[in-house]
Amino acid sequence: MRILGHELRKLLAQKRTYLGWAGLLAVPFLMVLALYLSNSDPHGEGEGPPFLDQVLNNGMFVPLSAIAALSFFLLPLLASMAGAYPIAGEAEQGTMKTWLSRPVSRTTVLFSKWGIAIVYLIIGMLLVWGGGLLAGGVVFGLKPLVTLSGTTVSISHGLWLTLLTYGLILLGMTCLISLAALFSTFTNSSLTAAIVAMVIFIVLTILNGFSYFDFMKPYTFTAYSTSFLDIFRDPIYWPPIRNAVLTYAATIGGVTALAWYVFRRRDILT
Amino acid sequence: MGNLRLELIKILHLKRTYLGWLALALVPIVITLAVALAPPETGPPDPGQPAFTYRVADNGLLVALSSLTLMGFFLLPLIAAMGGASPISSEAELGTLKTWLSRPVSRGMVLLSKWGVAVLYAAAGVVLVALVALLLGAATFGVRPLGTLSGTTLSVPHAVGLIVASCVFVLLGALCSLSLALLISTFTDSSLTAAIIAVVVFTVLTILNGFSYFDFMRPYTYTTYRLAFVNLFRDPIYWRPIEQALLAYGVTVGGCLVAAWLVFRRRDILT
Repeated sequence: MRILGHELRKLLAQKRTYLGWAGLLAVPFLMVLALYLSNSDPHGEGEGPPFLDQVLNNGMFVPLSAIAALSFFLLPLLASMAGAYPIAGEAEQGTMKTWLSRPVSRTTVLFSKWGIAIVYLIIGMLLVWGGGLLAGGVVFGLKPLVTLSGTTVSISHGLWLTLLTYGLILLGMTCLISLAALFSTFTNSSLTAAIVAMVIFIVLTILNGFSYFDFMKPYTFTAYSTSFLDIFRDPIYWPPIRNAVLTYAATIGGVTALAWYVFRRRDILT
Repeated sequence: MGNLRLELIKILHLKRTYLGWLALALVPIVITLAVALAPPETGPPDPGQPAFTYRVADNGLLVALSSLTLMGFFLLPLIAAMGGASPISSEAELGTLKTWLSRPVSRGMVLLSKWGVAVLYAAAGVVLVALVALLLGAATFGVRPLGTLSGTTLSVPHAVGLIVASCVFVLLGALCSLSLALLISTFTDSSLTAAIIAVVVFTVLTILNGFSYFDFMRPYTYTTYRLAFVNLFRDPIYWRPIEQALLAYGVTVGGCLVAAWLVFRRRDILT
């Protein structure tokens, strides 16, 4: 825990941290502003992130729509950045050697760096959630939520459902954090590690778009980006969510174990 | 020219150079594989499939066009941002920028050669995609005269010429992300930060373009014109959106370069 505190202090001393958070926080406000000022549906039917068409009636949908829009590209990007930097950034600055000369095990160092990336993302997502509720509540008002099955649930229950959605998306993003952390144990460049993780994300997404590659869909973490929609059925339709959580857990576990295996015996030259 | 050659040698020694090219080359390979292996489609195209891909099996030339469409969304801006961010700030990270600038070269020349090598990198990536796509497409699906969006038919050499023009257009669009990344890399010492900010700007502009309220800024944002090369495949070619796009690209790239030069010219080089 103390090591995690050190990592947190390092994280908070970087400009990039606040840029990422500010970018995330801006999205729900921009969305609300755009919808409020134009006071009409966005372009076309069925385009844009899920729930966007319902935002005008109920501010509760702002955090959902915002996180759905972010999870296509921006959130994975920040997750790769957060996962790649703690390890490769120290290698770039030449401080990794100093860090490892202290009486800490490499395992603890790796996991505290992995953990701090998750903490970074959790804070960013909570900003989106809070910002979305604030902006949506002020402009469109918070009302009981209408589920996809047509039933209505109370505001507090609806808030729990949005938090559940955020948790599921966080797990998906943790796959990217783990991938970026894995690559950052191979390379000394944080840029390379982050880009490789992003490229894997994009290539898997492209593969998921072709029906021929449907056989690999259950095993790729990118195939579940819209599985959170099933949380908004009444009763909640669990099987796809369970599949998503299993795939995420297997990806995170496998990739992190590999990162640990590489990092444990790596030559630290800088 | 000497500077440019030195920069070229440097990027050819980086693993990430080849990783980026490999990632781009994967796009046409995946498209060809997916279409060639899947059973022939009957009925209306699946709305979930990327544009251009549903007729690929009829004409190998379409592999190139679907690759250009598909990679323009995320992959090319990402790789271009990486290419633009890396030459300056990765030298700052490694602490070699000071050494470099202690040689008798002007900062303007250093900046320009670093931009030039990033442009070469992105251009090589696009050329690679076009070559892989044309060769794979021709070998797998054969080459036939291409039907235009207006219903007329183009001869194969004419169509290949238009595909080359589309590649140039897509490359010019990618140069906006590249130049932006270069500009940001003159502010920061971290190549990751520079690349990420350039991609974030690209994404946020794309999202804003989706809202009708922000339509007023559409003509001025470089993200609006990502698919404008489609207009090359009308008969006669519909030049207006292409001219607008080139103007927007030119202003963005020029503005970023001038700003980068102003910052870099008088920056304290601490590492």
